[in-house]
Amino acid sequence: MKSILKNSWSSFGLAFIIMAIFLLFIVTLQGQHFLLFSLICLVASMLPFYWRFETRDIRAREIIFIAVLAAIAAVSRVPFAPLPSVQPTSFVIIVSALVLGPESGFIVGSTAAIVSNMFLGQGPWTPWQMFCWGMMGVTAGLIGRYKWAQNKYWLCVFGFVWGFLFGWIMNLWYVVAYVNPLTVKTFIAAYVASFYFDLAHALSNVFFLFLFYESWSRIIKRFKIKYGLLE
Amino acid sequence: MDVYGRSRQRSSRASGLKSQLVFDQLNPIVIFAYYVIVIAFSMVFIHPIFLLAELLVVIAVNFSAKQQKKTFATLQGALFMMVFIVVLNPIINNRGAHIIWMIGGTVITAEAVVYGLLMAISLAVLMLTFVSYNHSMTNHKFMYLFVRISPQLTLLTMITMRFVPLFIRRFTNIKNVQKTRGVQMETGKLRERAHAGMRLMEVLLTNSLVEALQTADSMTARGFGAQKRTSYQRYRFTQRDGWLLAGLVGISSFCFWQASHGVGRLPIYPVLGSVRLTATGWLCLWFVLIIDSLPLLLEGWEYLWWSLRK
Repeated sequence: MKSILKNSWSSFGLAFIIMAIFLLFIVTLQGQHFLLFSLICLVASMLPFYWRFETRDIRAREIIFIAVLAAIAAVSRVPFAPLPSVQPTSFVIIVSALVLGPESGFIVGSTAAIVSNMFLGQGPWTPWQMFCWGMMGVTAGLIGRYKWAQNKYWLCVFGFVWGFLFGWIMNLWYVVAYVNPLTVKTFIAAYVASFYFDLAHALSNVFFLFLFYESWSRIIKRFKIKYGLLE
Repeated sequence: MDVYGRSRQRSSRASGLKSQLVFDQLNPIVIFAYYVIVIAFSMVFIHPIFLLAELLVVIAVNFSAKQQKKTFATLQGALFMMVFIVVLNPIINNRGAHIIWMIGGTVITAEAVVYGLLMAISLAVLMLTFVSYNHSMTNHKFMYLFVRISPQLTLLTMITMRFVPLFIRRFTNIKNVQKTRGVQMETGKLRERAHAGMRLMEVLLTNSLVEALQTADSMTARGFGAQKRTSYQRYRFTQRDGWLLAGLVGISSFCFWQASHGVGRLPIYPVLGSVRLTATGWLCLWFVLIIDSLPLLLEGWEYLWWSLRK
C-alpha cells in the first residue's frame, strides 16, 4: 500500500513540476506563443500518467474493467441528451476514481473523453477535455484516501467545484488563442459568458453525487474486491 | 449524434470502409501531418489575405469530400464563439491609434476591431479543418498512429470504442424492460427524469461489468498477456507517402521560418499597417495555399491522369 502511495504521488508531483515550468515560460514570454505553451503544458502533465499505465503489467480483467467504466461514462451522455445540460459523465468518473485511486481515475476520465469525441466528432477541445476529466479523476482518487471523502456532503462540494473548474479550463482553449491581451478582465468576461452552463454542470454533479454516490461506489467496490482488480 | 441512433448499421466512419478520395488513401502519418500543418498555418499567418484564402480552400476541401451539411452546421455552431471574440476584443483592448467610438470609459479602436475579425476568421478555419479531419482521419487511422507508441493504451481505447455501440443497444433493451415497471425518463419533472435515467444506467453498469469480466477471462484463457502481442498493420507507407511527407515538412518549415521573421502577419498594434504583401509574402501565400489544397491537387492530378490515359 505504501509503495503505491509513493509512486502515484511521485507521478503527480512530476506532472505538477512540468506544468509549473511551462507556466513560468508562459509568464516570462508575456503572452507570446501562449497557446503553444499551454498545449505543451497540457500534454506534459498528462504524460506521466500515461507512462505509468503503459509500463504497468496489466491483466485482461483490469483492462476490461477500466474500459467498461470509461465506456459507461462516455455512453451516459446519450440517454441524457434530451435533458438540457444534465449529464452524469463527471459523476461516473468521480465515483470510479474514488474507488480505484488516482491513476486509474485519470485513465478512466481521459479515455471517456477521447472515446465520446470519437462518436460526437473530434475538435480542438479534445485534448482539453481529456485533461479536465483526467484531472478530475486524479483529484477524486487522491481525496478518496481520506476518511472525510466518504462524507456525501463534502463530495457534493467537490463535485460542485469541479463543475465550475471544468468549464473554466474548457474556456481557455479559445480565449487564450483568440483574445488579446489576456488580463483578468478577459477571463472574467469568458467566465460570465459560460456561467449558465458551468452552473448546470456543477448542480447536476451535486444532484448525482448526493443521490447515487453510495449505490454506485458499492457496485464498483464489490466488483473490485470480488475479482481482485487493480490492487 | 446520428451514430447513436442507428447502432445496428455500421457507419462508414466506424467500419473503416475505403473512401473514394485519393487523400483518404494516403498513410495516416501523412494525413495527420497535413492537418497539424494546416492548423498551425491558420494560427501563424494572421493576415486578411492569408486567412480568407485559407477559409475558401478549406471550404472547397470540405465540399470535395461531400461535407456540405456538416460545414454549415459547424459554422453555425461556432457562431457564438466567433461573436464572442469579435465583441470581446475591442472592449478589452484599448490600444491602437484610430479611435472609432467612445462609450463611457471604453475606447473602441479600429485596430482592436480588425484584430477581433481576423481572429474570428482564424477560428472558423480551425473549426472547418476539424470537419475535414473527422471525415478523413477515421478512428482506425488514429489508432494506427498510436499503436506503436503505446500499445496498451491503444488496446484500452479500442475496447472502450467497441463498448459504446454495444452499451447503447443494451441500454435500449434495459429501457424497454424497465418501462414495464414504471421506470421511464420520457415524462415527468427534470428531477424525476434524471433520477430514472440514472437507475437505468445503474442496471447497465452491473450487467455490463458481469459480462465484460467474463469476456476478460476468456481473453486470458486464449493467451492474452502470455507473450508479446503481434499486430496487423492495415496501412502501408508507400513511396508516394514518402514524397508527400517530405514536401509537406520542407515547404511548411520554410513558411514557418519566414513567419518567424514577420512575413504574413498584418501589423496591427500600435498602428494598423497596410494589407499589401511583399514578394516573400506572396511566395509564402502560394506555398500555404498549395499545402492547404493538397487533397484537391491530388484529386485533380488523378482526374487528369485518368482522362489523358483514356
